[in-house]
Amino acid sequence: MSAQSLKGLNAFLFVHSKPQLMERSDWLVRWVCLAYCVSAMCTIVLPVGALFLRSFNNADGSFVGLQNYLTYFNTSALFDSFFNSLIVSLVTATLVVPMAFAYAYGLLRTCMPFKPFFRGVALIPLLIPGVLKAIALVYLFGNQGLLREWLFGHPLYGPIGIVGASVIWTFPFAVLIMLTALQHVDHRLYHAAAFLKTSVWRTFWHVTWPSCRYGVTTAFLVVTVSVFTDFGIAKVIGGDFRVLATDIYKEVIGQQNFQMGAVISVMLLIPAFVVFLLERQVAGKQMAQFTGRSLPYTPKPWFGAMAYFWGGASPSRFLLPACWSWRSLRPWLSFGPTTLT
Amino acid sequence: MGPSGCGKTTLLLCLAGLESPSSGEIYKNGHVITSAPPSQRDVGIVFQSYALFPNLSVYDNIAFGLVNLKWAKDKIREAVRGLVGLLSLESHEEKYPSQLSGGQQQRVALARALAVSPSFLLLDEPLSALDAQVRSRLRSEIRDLQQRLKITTVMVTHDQEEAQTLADRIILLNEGRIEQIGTPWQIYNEPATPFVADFMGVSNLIQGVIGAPNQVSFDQISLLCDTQRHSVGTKVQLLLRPEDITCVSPSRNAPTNLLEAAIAKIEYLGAVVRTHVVTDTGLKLKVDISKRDFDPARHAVAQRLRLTIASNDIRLFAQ
Repeated sequence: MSAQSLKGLNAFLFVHSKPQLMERSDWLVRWVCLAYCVSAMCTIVLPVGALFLRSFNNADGSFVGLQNYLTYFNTSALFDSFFNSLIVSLVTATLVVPMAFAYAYGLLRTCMPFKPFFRGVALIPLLIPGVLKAIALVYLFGNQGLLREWLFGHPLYGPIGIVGASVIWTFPFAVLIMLTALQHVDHRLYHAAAFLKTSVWRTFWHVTWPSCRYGVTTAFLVVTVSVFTDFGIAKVIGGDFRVLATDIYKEVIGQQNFQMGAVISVMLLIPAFVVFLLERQVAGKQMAQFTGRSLPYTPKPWFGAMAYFWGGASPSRFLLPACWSWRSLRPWLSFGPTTLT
Repeated sequence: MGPSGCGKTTLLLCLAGLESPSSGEIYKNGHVITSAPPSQRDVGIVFQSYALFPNLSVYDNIAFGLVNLKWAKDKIREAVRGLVGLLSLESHEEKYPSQLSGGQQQRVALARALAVSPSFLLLDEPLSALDAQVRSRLRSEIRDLQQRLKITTVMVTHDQEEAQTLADRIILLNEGRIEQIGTPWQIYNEPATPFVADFMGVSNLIQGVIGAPNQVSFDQISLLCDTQRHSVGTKVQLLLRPEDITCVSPSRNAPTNLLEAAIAKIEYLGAVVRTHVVTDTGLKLKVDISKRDFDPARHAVAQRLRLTIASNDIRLFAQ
């Protein structure tokens, strides 16, 4: 790129800047930001966009509009799995969040003994992948399991197993979020409430809950989306119970129906968007929680942008385009999982 | 009152029931309340950090305690209206704490504490987080309010001006011990210890020795003063308040307790001019010259001054 075009690019990107006042470090920051914008483009916008476009094509690659979606919604077996996923993830979140809240509340607000032990026990499962928890459940409650009778004859393989394993898997995440949320509460507020002869319930409702409402919502959303998109647990313990993640696998790997896989993937994106919108909504409300004394930190625009992209550029973001490009190259390659037939 | 870390907030929290004393008893109207929980002490408290409920409006914050007492709605409204008027918060009833300035938030906190008509009020450095102008205005408001409601109030502060203007009685603490209890006048004019003298206002504290009856010596200087309470030969600390030291015009005869000095530095404080002088024997003193007596020609750096102090203005502390 010539110096001239670099200048032009800069002028285009940073309209408001005054180049003559800029420090070297400012330029560095801007170029790093640009690099991250490009990487975000490559790793998020392009793959998701390609997926989205693919869902409007037929097997030959020609545009068919909403045909695939119509097929999807008219195939009750496929459409049911969307609700299956939704119900399983909502039930899991509804079970996990109150449990995690109570657990974190106990750790922070009571003088119960062996707190470090209980904290450790709750968080250790973070190190174990979700699939292993499903396998552990199979050992315990499966057809040959030790504690099979505890299910009163209900089969483990299906929604019970998925919810059970998902609860075990997501519990530590929820506990972590709840611990942070509860630590955030201003202690003086409890003192003020005590002097006004406030009942325990009213103190909880007016002091504890407003301060950690955001945390509870976040935990609920995180758990819901994690379970909604998880594949491993459903595969190991789901039995004949259809969920979206296993459906994609069946469509793409089993039947090589890429366009239907793309449609299901788009369906899988819906909760992510809903969560994004909800999170923004709740965060906006949370801002009103800060009093005049504790102002929320507002990062400076450019460093903020940098931090955002930096945080977003996890290794998985680089794996994604790798997979995607490999998939695009597939027609020209003579090997791969989809050419086994 | 006391310097930071002297235990004044701890003492307040003990009175409030948020801390428990390791020994001793706390009495209220003759009843021991040492181990009573905060809710049973019938006290109102205002914290330095306001501690308003951020999700409730000003109205609901003030009404909070009354709702707990299960008052009827219209009675609550009446009471809150009264307090809102008393603390000039009329146009802010529907606002949330985050929409108010620090001074307004502290007023709401005060109203919330007063709403339940507590038998005494505890204020934990309520003005420390505010800027100077708001602080002095709210200070006089608190005093007016306290006088009008006739409510026993314990206020913790590290600001001696605040204590002197607000208090009927000051308890001065240092390192967990009471240095002196007295009226603002007593604390300033009759300090019990050199610490009190130094903490309240500006002071010249000088090491000296009782040279003879009614005579105290330091640095080859002897001053006449009342030494009845100290025997000859004991070491003492002298307190000379800067405003008690006066300048003598060169034409006049030498008074008793004459000090010859040169001006080293001048600070203009408004009503007084604080002059830092060095005596001929090398002793550094602070001398306040009132604005009326200040003469820029005569009172300049390196100019010589003849100073005197009345015998009964010298205070001695045994060491």
